[in-house]
Amino acid sequence: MKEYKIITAAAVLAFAAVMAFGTFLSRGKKSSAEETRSLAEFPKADFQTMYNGDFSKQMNDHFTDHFPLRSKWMSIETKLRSALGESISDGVYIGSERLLDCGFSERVPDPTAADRLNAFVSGYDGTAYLAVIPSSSGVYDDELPYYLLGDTEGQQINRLYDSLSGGIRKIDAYNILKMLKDNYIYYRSDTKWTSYGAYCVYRTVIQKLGFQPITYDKYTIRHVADNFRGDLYNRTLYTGVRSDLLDIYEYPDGSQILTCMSVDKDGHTEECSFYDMDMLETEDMYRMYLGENVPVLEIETDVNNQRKLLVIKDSYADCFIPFLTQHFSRITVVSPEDMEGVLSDYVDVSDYEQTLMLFGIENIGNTDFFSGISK
Amino acid sequence: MIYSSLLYIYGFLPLSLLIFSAVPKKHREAVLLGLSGIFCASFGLYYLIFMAGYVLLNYTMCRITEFLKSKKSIAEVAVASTVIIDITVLFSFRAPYMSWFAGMIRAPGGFYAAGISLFTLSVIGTLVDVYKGNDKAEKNIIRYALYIMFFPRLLMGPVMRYSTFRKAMSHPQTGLAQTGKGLAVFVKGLAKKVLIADTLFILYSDVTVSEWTKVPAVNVLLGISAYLFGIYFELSGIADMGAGSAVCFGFRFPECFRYPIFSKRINYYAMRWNTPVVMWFKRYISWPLTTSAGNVIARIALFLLTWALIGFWYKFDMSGIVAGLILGAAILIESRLRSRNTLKITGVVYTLIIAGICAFIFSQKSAHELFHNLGSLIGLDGLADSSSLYLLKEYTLILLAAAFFSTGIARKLIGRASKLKFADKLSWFIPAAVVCVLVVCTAMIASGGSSEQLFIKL
Repeated sequence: MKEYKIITAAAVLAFAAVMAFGTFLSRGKKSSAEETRSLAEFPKADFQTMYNGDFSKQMNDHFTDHFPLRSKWMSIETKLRSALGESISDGVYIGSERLLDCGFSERVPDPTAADRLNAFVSGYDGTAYLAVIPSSSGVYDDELPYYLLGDTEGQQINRLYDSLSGGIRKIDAYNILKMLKDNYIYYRSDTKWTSYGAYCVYRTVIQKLGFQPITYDKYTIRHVADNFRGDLYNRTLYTGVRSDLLDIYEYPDGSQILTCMSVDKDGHTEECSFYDMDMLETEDMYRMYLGENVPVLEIETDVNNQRKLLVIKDSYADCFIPFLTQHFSRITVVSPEDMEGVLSDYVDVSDYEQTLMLFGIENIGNTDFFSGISK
Repeated sequence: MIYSSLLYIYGFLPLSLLIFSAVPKKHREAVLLGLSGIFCASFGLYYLIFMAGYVLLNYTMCRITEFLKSKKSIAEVAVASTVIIDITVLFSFRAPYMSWFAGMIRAPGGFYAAGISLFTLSVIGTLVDVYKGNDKAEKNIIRYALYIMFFPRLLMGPVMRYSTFRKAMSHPQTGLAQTGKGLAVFVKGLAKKVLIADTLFILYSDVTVSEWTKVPAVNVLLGISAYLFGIYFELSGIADMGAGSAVCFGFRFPECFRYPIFSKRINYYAMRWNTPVVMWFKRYISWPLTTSAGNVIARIALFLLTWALIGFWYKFDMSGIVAGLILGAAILIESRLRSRNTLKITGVVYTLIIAGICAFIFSQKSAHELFHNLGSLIGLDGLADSSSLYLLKEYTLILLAAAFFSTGIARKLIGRASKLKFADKLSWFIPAAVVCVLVVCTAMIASGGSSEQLFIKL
C-alpha cells in the first residue's frame, strides 16, 4: 500500500522538475508574441529591493513570465475561471460573442485635459474638431455583469466635452456607434472599432469638416486578414470567440495617395507604406493600418484642393485616416503617445486651417497624452 | 513568497527537498533553518532581520526565565515584559492604530509580518510553560528558531506547545513515501485555496462593491455564504499546504481544521475551527482564570470573554469581538439545551445559522455598514433582482462544491474505498488524481504567478 505514495512523490516531483527546468531554459526570452508584451527581466540584486521584498516580487514575476508553455496555461486558466465562477479573467469579460474590458467605468478625465485643449484652440486661427471614441465595453455595456456598470462611456465623454470651451466643435461618436451596435463596428477581441465603425463616424465627421461623405457602395472592401486577435485576446489568450477581420476600404475611382512620409523622434524623414502588409505576418496585425508607431506621418494625395488637415490621434484613428484621404491634399497625423516633447516641436499648427482630434476613451485620463498637445 | 505561487511550488519546495535529502541527518535542522531564512527573506530582508531579533529575544528570555525560576518575583518581571513586547509587536502589525510602532522598529512601508498572529501565540505559550515549570527551556537555538521560523508553519501555524513541537521534530519520518503523502496534502490545500477560496473571493467582492447601495436580500445571503466558505477554504487551504510541506520533510504537526461548518453542535463547530488556536486561548487564558472565578456568573463572563478575545485575535476590531461573543453565547445556550433530545439535523441547522451570523458580523467594516447590510438582509432593498439571478447562475455550482467539500463526506468515502477488496488497484489512481489537480491549480495561477488575495491576514 506504500507504493502509490512513492509514485505520487515521483510523479509530482518529476513534473515540478520538468517545469522548473523549462523555466530555466527559457530564462533569456525577452518578449511574448502571444501577449505582445515584454517579459519581466531577471531582477538586479541591490540592498534596497532585497530589504523591502521587491526583489522577490520581481523574481516571482520573472519566474511566472518564463514558466514553460505560459500561453497554454493562460488559455486553460481563462476557460477554468469561466467554468468555476463568472466569465471574467484578468479583467476581461468573456462573453459568448465578444471579449470586453471590465475596468471601463472607473475612468475620469485628466484634470489638465480641458485646460490643454482650451489653450490649444484659444491660440489657433483655424477650426478644431474633437471626437472621443468609446471602447467596445462602452457600446456593448449591456452584455456586462450588473456590478461593473457605473457611469456609461457616454457620460464620461460628455464630462470632458462639457469642460471645454465653445471654440472646439465636439462630435458625438458615442451615440452614433451605440445606435449601430448590431453591426460589425467593433472587433470581438479588441477594445477598438472596426473599419466599418470608423466609416459610420466618418460620415458625420466629414460633413462637419465641410465635405460630402463618400457613399458606402462606392467602396470595394478587401478582407486582408480573417485571423486578427486584438488586445483583449492578448490578455486572456482565449480563443472561444471568432477571430476578427481586418478590412481595407478601397475607392478605385477616387483619389490616390502620392506619398506617405514618417518622421521619427529625431526628426528623420522616411518613406513608409500607408498599409503595411508585412505587419499581417506579425502578432501585432493591427499595425497594418499606417504601419509602425511614429510621432508624425505626412500623407499627400492627388486631391487637388490645397486643403490641409492636422489630425491629433491615438491608435483608434489608424483605420479612420484612410477615409479622410479622399478629401484633403495633405494630411499630417500626429500621435502624442509616440512623441517626445510637444506638438510644436514637430509641426507648425498655424499651417492648418482645420485640426481634428480623434482618440479613444482610454486616453481621456492620460496626462501624458494631453501634455503633448501644447504649443 | 507564499505557498500558492509558482515560485514556491516549482522552485523553492522541490529545491528544498533536494537539498534536505542530500545533507547528512545531523545537519538537517540547520539546513531547514537556512531554508526557512531564505523563505523569510523572500518577504524582504527586513523580515529576516526582524525574525532574527524576535527569535533571539524570546530565546534569551526563555532561558533567563528558567534560570530565575527560584526567584519568582524577578522571573515574573522577565515574563511580563517579554509578553508585553511580543503583544506590542503583534498589535503594531495587525492594528492600524498601532502602526507607529512598526515605524519605530523600521518596518518598510506596507510591510506585513506574515503569520505573526500565530507565532506570537506559540512563543507566549512556550514562555509561560517555562515560567510555570511545565516545560524546560530549549537550549538548542537552532531548534528554537525553527519552532518560530520553520517555513511550512510560518504562514498558518499550527499554534503548538513546545513539547508537541519537540516530539514532532525528534522522530522525523523521512522517505519518498512520506514526501508523496505530503505532496498529496499540499495539492489538496492548493486546490482549496486557488479553486474554491479565490473564486468565492470574487463573488464576495461582487456583492460588496462599494458604490452598490441597494443590495437585495439574496445577494447579502450569497455574500455571507461566500465569506463563510471562502474564509474556511482559505485558512484550511493554507494550513493544508503548510502541513503538507512539513510532511514532505517528515514532520507531522497537529491538524487545524476538522470539517467544522456542518457540525451537529455549535460547540463542535467552534472547537473544530482552528483547534490549536482555541486550545491556546483555553489553556493560557480561560483555565488559569477559572480557578479564581467563584460563581456561575463569573464563569459565564469568563467564557464569553475568552470567545470575545478569540474573535478579536482574528480581526483586531469590534466586529471580531461581537462575532466572538455571539458564538460564545450560542455555545452556552446549546449547553443548556443539551439534555433535551434534539435531532441531528436541528443541530446542523443551528450551527449553520450561528456560523452564518458570525461570518456576517465578522465581515463588516463598521457599525454603520453593519446596520445598512442588516437592513438589506431582512429585505429592505427587495428580495432579489436581475443581479441576484446573475450571481446565482454563475456561482451556485461553486457554492455547492464548497458545501460538499466542507462536510467531510469525501473523506469518509475515501476511507471506505480503502477498505474495499480492490483498494490496492484503486490506489493507483491517486498519483494521477494528484497530478491532475496540480495541473489545474497551476493553470489557475499561471497568469499572475500566485494567488495572493486574502479574506483575512493572520
